[in-house]
Amino acid sequence: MRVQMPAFRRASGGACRTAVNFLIFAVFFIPFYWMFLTAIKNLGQTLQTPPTFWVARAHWENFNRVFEAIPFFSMLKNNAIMTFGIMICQFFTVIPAAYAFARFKFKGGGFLFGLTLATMMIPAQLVFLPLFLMFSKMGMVNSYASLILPWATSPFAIFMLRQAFKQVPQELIEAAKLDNANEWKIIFKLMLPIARPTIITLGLITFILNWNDYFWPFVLTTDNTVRTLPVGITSLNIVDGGVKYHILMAGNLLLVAPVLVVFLFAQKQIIKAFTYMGGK
Amino acid sequence: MKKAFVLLALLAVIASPAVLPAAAAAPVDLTFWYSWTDKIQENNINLAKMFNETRGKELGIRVTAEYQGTYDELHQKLQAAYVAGKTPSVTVMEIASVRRFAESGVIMPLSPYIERDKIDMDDFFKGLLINCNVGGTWYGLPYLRSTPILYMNATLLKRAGLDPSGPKTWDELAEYCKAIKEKTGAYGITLNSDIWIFEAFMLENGATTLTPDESKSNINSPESRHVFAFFKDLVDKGYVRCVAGEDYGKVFADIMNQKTAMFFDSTADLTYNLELARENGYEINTCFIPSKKTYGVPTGGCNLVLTSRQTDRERDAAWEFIKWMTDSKQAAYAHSYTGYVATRRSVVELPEIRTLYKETPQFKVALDQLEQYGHGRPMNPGYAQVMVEWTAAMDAIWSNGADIGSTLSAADAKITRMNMLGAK
Repeated sequence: MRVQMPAFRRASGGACRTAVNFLIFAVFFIPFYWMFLTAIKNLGQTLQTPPTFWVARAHWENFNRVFEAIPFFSMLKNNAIMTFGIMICQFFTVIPAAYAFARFKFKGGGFLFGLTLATMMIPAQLVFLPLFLMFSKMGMVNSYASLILPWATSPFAIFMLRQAFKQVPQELIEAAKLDNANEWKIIFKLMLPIARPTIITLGLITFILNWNDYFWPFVLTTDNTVRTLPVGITSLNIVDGGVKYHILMAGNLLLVAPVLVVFLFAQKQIIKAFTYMGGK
Repeated sequence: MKKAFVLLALLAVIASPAVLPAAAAAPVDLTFWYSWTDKIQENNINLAKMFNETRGKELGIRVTAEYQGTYDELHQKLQAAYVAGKTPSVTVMEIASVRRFAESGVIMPLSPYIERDKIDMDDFFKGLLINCNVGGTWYGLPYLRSTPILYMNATLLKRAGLDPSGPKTWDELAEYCKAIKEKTGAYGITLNSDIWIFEAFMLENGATTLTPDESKSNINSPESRHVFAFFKDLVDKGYVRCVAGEDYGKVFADIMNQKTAMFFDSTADLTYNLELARENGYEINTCFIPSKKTYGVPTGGCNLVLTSRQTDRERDAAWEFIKWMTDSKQAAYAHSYTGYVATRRSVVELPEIRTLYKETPQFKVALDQLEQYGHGRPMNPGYAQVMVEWTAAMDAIWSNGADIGSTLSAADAKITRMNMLGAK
């Protein structure tokens, strides 16, 4: 018995682990599989019960119908311009702010940092009307600027990066200063490489958040010139009556594909960022 | 001052020969807002294109059709655009909202144009015109309009030994539900908490959801209680299932899987329901919503309206577009392309529409029902809130088994207490 127990435990522990792993995998994988499957069904199969997990004939033409229904490629371009525009702006606004909040003691610094954090608590819905009127009066509705400028900085990113900068040992900075490094050099040669996982994670969060943003790009556009992909894909659902789930899912698949690709590439860095923060 | 004069004069000299004739010939650019995608979007884009190539070309008018989401979203955007001073020239407008926008001055009367161009308003079906008129003045013309009808899975009806042409009265409706459940196992009806359908039920009982002056709700009236009780009885017996207002999609799941034999739905969904039936191997049929004291249905959908903040030239051009869009030929195009009802008597006379009715007789049912029994919808701006209460009552009573008396008196009290209908 004594000999058997640990072996049994080990075996059962292993089995449990596999089962739990499988369960977690299923929870995350099945929605994607379902989305893919619905995207190649015909309308009559979409809500069938009991649900079918395989289709005999794939209806690839559903994707063509997405391309017919919305100006897909122009919306994709708009989505990319908006998302990368926001990311570039945030790069230039967030890093200096985070560095200042992390490394300098100045009058009102605490207050300003508090103010920055407080803006996180204002929901977008509260400011959209004044912002809309402002952009409208400046004749900027239906322009890229109106999509990018409201998100040109991010209090959450400032907060996250400030924490990462604070973790850099003071000695390293002193050493760099002894080597006559100025502040810019310290930021770019020392701080950024150390905070790389955090920056990549922030970049990814910003990417996903803005890539998928629906509310603002819809509110601030009245025609298709700068409308983004989420507005287009959601419009497939805006029908007066029965929804064509298969077309909607085909559109969704096309929308999330780039996000999945980016995630696969950035995966390692994200794990690093969170283990590093947790390990402190 | 002198300098400015000289400059102006100089400008005038330069500008006059070159620019002015060009400006006079330059087309008027108009924006036209619409809701919904899919067939409706295609219809709107196609019509705008046809206008630009024909009538618009003659008159020097160019229309751009722009999608703005659901009716609610379009209304919100219109309001914001009005405040910002940049409205489209023409827009679709959900029929119950016409009064609100007319009273706030966002849209303007069409009556002078209608009189000037001698538009034959009698050609439109009477039921469709009620929501175009505010206080005796025309503010819109019927565009993409619909009515609810009863859809039936004829295959299931036949299996239950029933006449596939459908029930004629509420008593027959109840018998149908019983027979279907007992012989096929499917629900007689899958109901959805939908105020629009309830408006039909009220009309059939000789009542309306609001009092005629729209100052009070009839939610706790004997007619309303009767409607609630009639369907609650069928739900309690298991013949009918009601899904909550939010779960609209579940109705279609029941339809697709042939778990229900009948359902109330907009005429606009006819092509969608035909597609489902074809792909899942059953026949679909339509009939009037069965009568109680009488037949009766509300109409729905949108009108075309003219916004107020634009130049006279734009406004005249916008009217030309509205006039063209609602004319027989274009109304026929929209009718057959989208499945919304024919708006004019003259539409039905056209050869292409006669052919359509021969091929798809289900279209004709909606028309006959509309012609004889079509009504309007309440236009009180506070009705939106009352609809929320009414839907909640349907959810509570039909889906969650709540008591009729107490639920309705509580809803009625809330509507009165919060003065939702703005009574003085």
